Amino acid sequence: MAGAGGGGCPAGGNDLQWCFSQVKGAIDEDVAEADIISTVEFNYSGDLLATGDKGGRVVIFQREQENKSRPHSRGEYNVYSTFQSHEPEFDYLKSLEIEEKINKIRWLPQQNAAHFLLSTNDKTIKLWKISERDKRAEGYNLKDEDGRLRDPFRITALRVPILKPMDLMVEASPRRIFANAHTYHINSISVNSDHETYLSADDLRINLWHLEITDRSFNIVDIKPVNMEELTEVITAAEFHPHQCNVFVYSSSKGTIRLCDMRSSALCDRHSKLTGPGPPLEVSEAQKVKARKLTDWKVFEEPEDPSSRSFFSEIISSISDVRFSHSGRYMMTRDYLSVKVWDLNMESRPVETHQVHEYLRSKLCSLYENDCIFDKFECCWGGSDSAIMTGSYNNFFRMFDRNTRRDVTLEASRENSKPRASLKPRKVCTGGKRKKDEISVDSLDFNKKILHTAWHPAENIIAVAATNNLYIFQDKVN
Amino acid sequence: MIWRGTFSLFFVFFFNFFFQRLFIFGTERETEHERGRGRERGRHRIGNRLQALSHQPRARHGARTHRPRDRDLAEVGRLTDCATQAPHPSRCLKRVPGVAVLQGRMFARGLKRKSSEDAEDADGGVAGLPAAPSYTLQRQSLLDMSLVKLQLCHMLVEPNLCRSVLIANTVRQIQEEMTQDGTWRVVAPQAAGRAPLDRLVSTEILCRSGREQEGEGDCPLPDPAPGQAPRRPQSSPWGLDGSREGRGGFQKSLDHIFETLENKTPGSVEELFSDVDSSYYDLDAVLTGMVGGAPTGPGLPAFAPTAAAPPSSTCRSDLGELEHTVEILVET
Repeated sequence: MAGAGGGGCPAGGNDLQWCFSQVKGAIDEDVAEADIISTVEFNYSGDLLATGDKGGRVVIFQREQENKSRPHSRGEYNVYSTFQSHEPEFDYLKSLEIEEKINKIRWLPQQNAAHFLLSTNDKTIKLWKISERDKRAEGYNLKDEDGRLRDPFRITALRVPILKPMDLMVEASPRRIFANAHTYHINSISVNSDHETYLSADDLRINLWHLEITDRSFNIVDIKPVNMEELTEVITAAEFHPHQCNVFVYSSSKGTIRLCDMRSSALCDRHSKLTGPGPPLEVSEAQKVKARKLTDWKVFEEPEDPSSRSFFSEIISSISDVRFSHSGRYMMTRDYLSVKVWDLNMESRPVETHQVHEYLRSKLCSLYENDCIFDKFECCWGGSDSAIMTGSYNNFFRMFDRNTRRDVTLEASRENSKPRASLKPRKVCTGGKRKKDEISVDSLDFNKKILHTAWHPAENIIAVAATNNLYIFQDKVN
Repeated sequence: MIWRGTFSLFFVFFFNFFFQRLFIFGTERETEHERGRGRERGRHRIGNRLQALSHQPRARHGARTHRPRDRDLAEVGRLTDCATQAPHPSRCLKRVPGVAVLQGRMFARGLKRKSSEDAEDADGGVAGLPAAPSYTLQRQSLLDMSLVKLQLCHMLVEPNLCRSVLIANTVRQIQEEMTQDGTWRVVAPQAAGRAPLDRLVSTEILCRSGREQEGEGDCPLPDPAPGQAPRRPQSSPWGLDGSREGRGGFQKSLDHIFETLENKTPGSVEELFSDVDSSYYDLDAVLTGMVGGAPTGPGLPAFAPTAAAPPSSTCRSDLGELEHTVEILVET
C-alpha cells in the first residue's frame, strides 16, 4: 500500500483510528539499561525502521512485503540487521567516560542497493553501510571450496567462478567515522537535502560535514562565550530544511529558535534579527559572542506570558526538539509542556500551540526534584503534515490533528497488544472526581516516558519507543 | 582508630556537599555547648547512614547496566510532593555510591522537620499561613535543591551541560529576586548562633566568594567550608543583621562551576573547594590529622573534598587512599 497518502482524508472524516500492530522487545519488568531505546527513525521510503539503544547497538527492522493471502494486514516489521555501532570509550585527557548510547540515527536517501545511515553518540558520528548479500561465488581457482589456498603450481586448468544463491545475509560496515570534532555532547545530526553534506550539533557548536570527508568539518555556529562563566544558553537541537540546502534551524535552552541561511555568511550565529546589515556589532550581553560577519537570520521566540512566570519558566521553555514539516513551510518545536507549530514567515509567535500535559504545570517542583523536568521529548509530523505526535509520561503519547483541532491521548502498553486492537483514548483527571477509566495525575508513572517516536513518511504507521520496547501502531484500514 | 578516622573522613567529605539540612554542622557549632549537641546528633545520624550504606552494592566501575550518572529507573516512580518526600535512596545510591543516600535521607529529614514546623508543602501555601513566608520557604527550598543538583553535577562523570545551565540559571534567578527583596544576606559571625536550624546554609560558595569579592572580613569563618552552618537567613524572624551581599561572589562561583565543567580535569574540581577550612572537620578528636584526596576515577565521582592538609598539593597523592577508604566503607 505504498503511497497511500498518509493522513489522507477518507470520505468519512479525518480522524485516525490507531490500532496495535506489533511490539518488539523483552517483556520482563527488569529492564537492562543497555536495552533502553534512545532513538527511532524511519528511512525515506518507510520500509526500514532503525532503533538505537543505550548499549550502542542499532537494530534495523524491515517491512515485509504485502502478503497476497492476507490483504487486510499490512506488512509487518521484522528484524533486518543488528550491529554494534558505538563502543564505550574513555577520554584520558579529561578522565571522562564517553557513553556509547546512540543519540540519533539519520538515514541517507537510497542511491543504490545498499542502505546508508548516520548514527552518533556523544562524540563520534559514523556512517554505516547496510548491504545484502544473497549470492556467493563458487569455483575459485586459487582457493579450495573450504577456503584453503591452492598451490599455484598445481593448477592445470582455469575455470570461471559461478555465482550461486545463498541465504540472505545483511552486513553492516562502517564506511566513515567522523570523530574529534565536538568538545560537547552531540545532540543532533541532520542530513542536508543535497545528500552530500550533513550537520552535527552539540551544546555549543554546530559543524557542517561532507559525507566523503572525515578529517575536516566546518564550524557554522558557535555560541560558546569567550568566558565560560557567562554561559547561559545552549543549543538543544538542529535540523536542515527539507528542500533548501542552505537553510537550517537550531533551538536553544532559552526557548528561541534561529533560522539560518548559510549563503549570507560563513558563520551563522549573530544574535539579533533587529540589527540589519551594517558593521559587526559588539554584543555586550551576558553571553558574549565574538564579532562576526553578518548573516540573514530569523529568531523565533514567543514573548513570555508574565502571568504564568515562575522559577521554572525558563526550564520548561527549553526546546527539546525541532522538526521541519515535510512541506518545509512550517516547523514544530517541543518544549516541556507543549508543542508549537511555527510558520517560517512569522517569527513573533507560533501559529499553533498544543498542550501536551498541562496538568503537570502544578507539579513542576516535584518534577524538578526528580529531574523529570529535564526530559527531552521528541515530536514528529505525519506524512501529510496534517497531524503531529509527541510523547508523554505513563507510556502515553499524544496526537494532534491540525485540521480538526482534535487531540487524543493513547497508551503504549502490553495490555492493549492484541493484533489490530484499536487503541482506546486515555484521559488524565486533574482533580475532583475521577471518572472510571481516568487516571489521576498522582498515579502517573514517571518512569515510563515516551521520549522517542517516529512516523512513517507516507503512511499512517507510527513507531513509539517505551523504554526498552518498540511499539508499532497503524491506522485502521477503512 | 584509623578506621574511625577514615570513616568519619568519608562522611565529612560527603556532608560538605550536601549542605542542606546539615544538622550536624548546624549553627550549634558556633558555641562549644552547641557544638557538642550537634556532634551528638551527627553521630547518631552517621550510624544510621552507615547502616544504609553498608547494605547497598557499590556501582561497579564501567558496568554497563549501572551507570552512576544515569538516573536509575527504579528511582523515579510516582510523582511525589516536593516538601514531604525525598528522592528514593536507591536512586541516589546508584548514581553516587554512598553519597547520595545521605543526601536523600538528609533531604527528607530536613524537609520533614520543616514540614512539621510549618506544615507546608512546596507546591502551594498552606491555609492559615501568611503567603509571604510560604513563598519564601518555597523559594528557599528550591534554591537548596538547585545548589545540590549543581554540586552533583560536578561529581558526575559526564555532566549534562544543558541541565547544568538550566539549574544555574534558576539559581541566578532566585538569587536576583532575593537580592531585590533584600533577603540575600550573609550573617555576621556573632549573630550566626541564632540562625534557624532549618535554613539553607549559605554555601561555602557564598561565603567564600563574598569574602573574596568584597574584601570584607565578616565572613563567618576565615576559610569557610562547603555546607556549613546556616549563615544566611532569609526573611527570618530572628532578624539577623548581616548585610553583606554575596551576590557578586555567588555569580563568580557559579561561573567557577562552569569553568570546572568545561575543564573536567581532576585538579580543576579540587580548585573549587581548594580553600576549605580544615578546622571545620573537627567533628571529633579523631578527625584531626586527616588528609584529603580528590578521587576522580571513573568509578568514583569526582567530588573534591579537602581537609586538614592544604589541598591541591596533597590531593592527588591521597586519591588512592580515599578510594580505598570508600571501598572499605561501601563494601562492609
